Amino acid sequence: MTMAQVTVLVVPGGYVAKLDGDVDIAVADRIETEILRQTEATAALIVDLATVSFLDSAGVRLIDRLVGRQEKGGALARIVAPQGSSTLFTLQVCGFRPELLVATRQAAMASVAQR
Amino acid sequence: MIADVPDEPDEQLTEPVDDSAEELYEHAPCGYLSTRPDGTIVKINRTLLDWLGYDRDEIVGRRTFQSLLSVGGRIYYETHYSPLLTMQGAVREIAVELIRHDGSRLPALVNSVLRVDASGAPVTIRTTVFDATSRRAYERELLAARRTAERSEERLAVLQQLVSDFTPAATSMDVSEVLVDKARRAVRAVASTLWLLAEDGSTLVRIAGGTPPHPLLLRAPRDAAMPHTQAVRRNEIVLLGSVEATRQQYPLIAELMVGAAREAVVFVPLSVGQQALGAVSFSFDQTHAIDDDDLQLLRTLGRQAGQALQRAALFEAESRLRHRAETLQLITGALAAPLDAAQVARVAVDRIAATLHFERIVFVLAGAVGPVVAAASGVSPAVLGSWRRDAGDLAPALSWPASNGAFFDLPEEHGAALPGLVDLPPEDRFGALAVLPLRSGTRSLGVLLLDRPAEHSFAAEERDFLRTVAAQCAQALERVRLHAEALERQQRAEFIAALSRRMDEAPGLRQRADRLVARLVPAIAERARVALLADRQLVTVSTSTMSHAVEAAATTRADPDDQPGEHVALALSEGTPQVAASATDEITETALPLRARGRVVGVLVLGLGRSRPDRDLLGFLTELAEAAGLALENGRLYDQERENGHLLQRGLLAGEPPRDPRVAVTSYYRPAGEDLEVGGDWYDVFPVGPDKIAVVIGDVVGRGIAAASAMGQVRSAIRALAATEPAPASLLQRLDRFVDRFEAGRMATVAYGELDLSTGRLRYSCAGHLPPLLIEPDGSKRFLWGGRSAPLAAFAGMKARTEDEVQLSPGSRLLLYTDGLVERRGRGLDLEMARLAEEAGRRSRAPQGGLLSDLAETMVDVQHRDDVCLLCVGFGVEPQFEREIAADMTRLKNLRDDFRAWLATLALSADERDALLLVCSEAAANAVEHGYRDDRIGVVSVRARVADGVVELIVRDRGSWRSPAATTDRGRGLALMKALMDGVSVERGVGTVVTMRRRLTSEAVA
Repeated sequence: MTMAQVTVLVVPGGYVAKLDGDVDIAVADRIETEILRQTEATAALIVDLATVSFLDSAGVRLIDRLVGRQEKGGALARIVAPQGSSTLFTLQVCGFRPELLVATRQAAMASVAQR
Repeated sequence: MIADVPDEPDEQLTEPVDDSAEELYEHAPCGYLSTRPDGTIVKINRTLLDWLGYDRDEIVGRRTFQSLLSVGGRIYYETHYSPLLTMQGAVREIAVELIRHDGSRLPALVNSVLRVDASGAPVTIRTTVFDATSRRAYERELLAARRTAERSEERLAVLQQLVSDFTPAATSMDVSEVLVDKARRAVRAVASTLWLLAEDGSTLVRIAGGTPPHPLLLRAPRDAAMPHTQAVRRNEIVLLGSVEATRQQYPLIAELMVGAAREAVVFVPLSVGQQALGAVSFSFDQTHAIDDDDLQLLRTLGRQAGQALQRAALFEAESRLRHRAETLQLITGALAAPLDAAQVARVAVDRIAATLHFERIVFVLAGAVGPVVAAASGVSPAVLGSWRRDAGDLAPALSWPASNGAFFDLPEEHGAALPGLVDLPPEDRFGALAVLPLRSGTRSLGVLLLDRPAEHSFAAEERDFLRTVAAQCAQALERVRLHAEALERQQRAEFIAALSRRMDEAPGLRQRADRLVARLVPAIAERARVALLADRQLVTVSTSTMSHAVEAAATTRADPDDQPGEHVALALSEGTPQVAASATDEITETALPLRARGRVVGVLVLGLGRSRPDRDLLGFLTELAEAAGLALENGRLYDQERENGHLLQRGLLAGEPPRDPRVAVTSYYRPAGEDLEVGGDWYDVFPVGPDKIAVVIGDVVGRGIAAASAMGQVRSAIRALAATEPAPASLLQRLDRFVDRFEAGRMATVAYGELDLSTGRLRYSCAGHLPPLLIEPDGSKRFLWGGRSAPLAAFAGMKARTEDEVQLSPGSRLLLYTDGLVERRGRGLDLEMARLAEEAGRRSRAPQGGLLSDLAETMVDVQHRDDVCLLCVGFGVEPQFEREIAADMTRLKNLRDDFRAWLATLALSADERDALLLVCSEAAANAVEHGYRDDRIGVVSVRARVADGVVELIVRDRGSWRSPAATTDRGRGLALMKALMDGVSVERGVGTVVTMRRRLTSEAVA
């Protein structure tokens, strides 16, 4: 059983939370706790889903809450979901705002730097 | 009396005696006079005229008798004399005073006789006058004598009273009270002051009375030019009888006398024999003059007081000695109990506070890095708090040069010596202070500060006593120090021994390093890190931190290995313990080299708190690091051995399973429970031609690298033989020969099968290996008992190898396993195999991912003493996807993996695949979450099929349905399903059945 993982990195202007594997209802809470513990809502947050193999609705809710927390704190949120990935498919099905979704981490970092 | 009156000299005495009556009248030895009844003098003799100094003409007919009397006499004449005379006709020996012509008084006694005529009417009064001057003088003398007698009696009484007052006076304070109060009143002085010589005899100190307006009256050297010092020096009374008389010698005192309206001041020595112990002064105003008798009295008083003082001093000294002896005994007794320095300090402070009169007591210990206030009394919390944070101000007291202690009678004296004490807020400022070093030999253990708020004279005797108290404290400290040292040495030795033992119990380097840091934190250090050199790079192997918060902070911060610090680098290069120059996060790091085979192989970095470790601690830590280095090295060697074996085995186990939609291969390998060397189990799956795969599982006898390498050889041999040998039995025969020749893998067991993917035919042969288990999609199962023969190259085995064949249906699974799965102590092999078949059959619809670990967990516990190796080959494309998962969210991934694989066999667009996978997962999650909220052992079944270009997905649970309104999350999943599928229906009965359909795009169907 592969456990989804999260790695939080400090980058200029904020944090990158890099998620791995299947992000589903079994692991979403643990990932969220970990991200909240290691980041602050006052700095930008990039949620990198590039290596996420599957995202279910619980994973979608997790990302939605993270975005909400960032925007309430007046900080930027970006989600890295590569073109053609099932992750992007799921987020699009769930109607995520297009400006939140970027294809690569570099693009996300660039939008953090622009602010 | 009259006879005593001396004759007045008479100028006529030389003349011939004329004894005529007239002569006698005129010159009689007494005065005669005759008056009319109204007092008018009609006749007077010469004697009286001479006495009074009048001429006859001035008197006769001109003056009355009463006009010659004093005022008091005249009143007496009118009120007594005249009425008595009238009534009795005569009066006798009336004492009067006559006023002479010059105004002076003549005391006299008079007799008068009233002469009457025949009718009884008064005619004349005849009066005789006797000079009573001598008699009066005598009487006055008598009176004065009596007064003097009374006065001395009074003085005597005063003296006696004072002496009796002195008698019970036990202390010099009692004596001084009698002196300044009672004696002052007795001598009618308006003020009095008492001075006594200080113990060393050089200073005269005010003890009681008045508030002297000049410092020299407070304290004066014995040889000062002052009246009280003079009284003491000469042991004589000094009388300043008037301001004028004083001005010349003591102008200062004269000014003070004027200011206080004093007429006179007497300074009386308080003497014992030829010595004066002090002096007492009495000041007088004009209402009372001092005479010699007063001075005499005061002299006596001084002697009496001196004796009383000496007596009191002896008594005080004795009771002080007794009290001190008792106190010392108490303190010494109390100090015998404590087991550590802090307790010694507390006990000492408590005892001193209870028995000695000190306002503040501060017990400072010499800590490793500076003074530590271990106990205190009478100090404000603020000051105590600041000392607890940093008692550096007290450092000068610790390194006090005078081992005998220092005693400051006045606050201003210790300012320079202990600047910190003076910087305190006023209410905490020290007054008279005793600084008592606590020493053992030349070693400074601490210092005891004793203070009184105001000035205080530390007498020699008191100093000795306090030194003794300090010596007792120092002794107690030394005792607990030695005790602690011995205990510490023992504990440290035990600690290292236990640490080594604990580390040796763990097999590998990392486990040993983990045990090391776990043992060190928090027992010894606040944080610990083991870093070892690998290819000249320092790699952290294990780390531990006392506070979780700090740990959390450290994970987001840069890796500490990036900046090892100079102390770490030095420890590595020098091979000696190094203490970091500065603290980070309030912790000073100490780097200890870890040695093995005579080289420094790494470093143990300890955060020991803010302070730097002392030499003692460093010695201990070095010893500890030596032991740890050895244990770590042994762990490393073990790891290396084990790693080699595992590397070998893993290399052999690994290998990409064939990628073919017609077959799904999963494997599972679990080494034997911790600490054991690698075993000889292996499996292998490899293609032998375009439509055929070989499936192998085997077990080489033995453990360790030898077994692993033998296994490797056998495995390679099988691969090589499979390329040429047409059938399993002949392959095993060839393998026998190989093993026999190379002696590697004798008695190994192998199950070997070849599966034709196009037909589903499996040909297999088992050389002493347990039979494979075949599980059909419907859950029926059987062991493949055919094709059995002996283990490889078994001497006792039959040489012939046999094989068998079985037909697999699509969706069936072939399970191969090693004996670790079914061999359990105390359980028959057959029973365990039956249990395995049962468990595997129950899981015929379980997703293949997770199936093997599930089975292994069900069959054997984690601490199992043997390797467990499992291989599952799922055959064929299922026309219909059917899976069942336990009601556990963590199973969703396994379900998805199988479903993904099934979807891959269909011609779908990427979006369709993603959508179906998502919907399947959501529906299954709902079923798990809501169907089995209270029941974790429930099952969720998922079925999917394609018919007429429509995918139908059915998710079923048999749980107790709860209303979806209970949570909004459920709605989200449902919304997704509805968005992605053409039709979603929810059917609630015993459980819930969710049926979803989606029409596939035309090209996908095609």
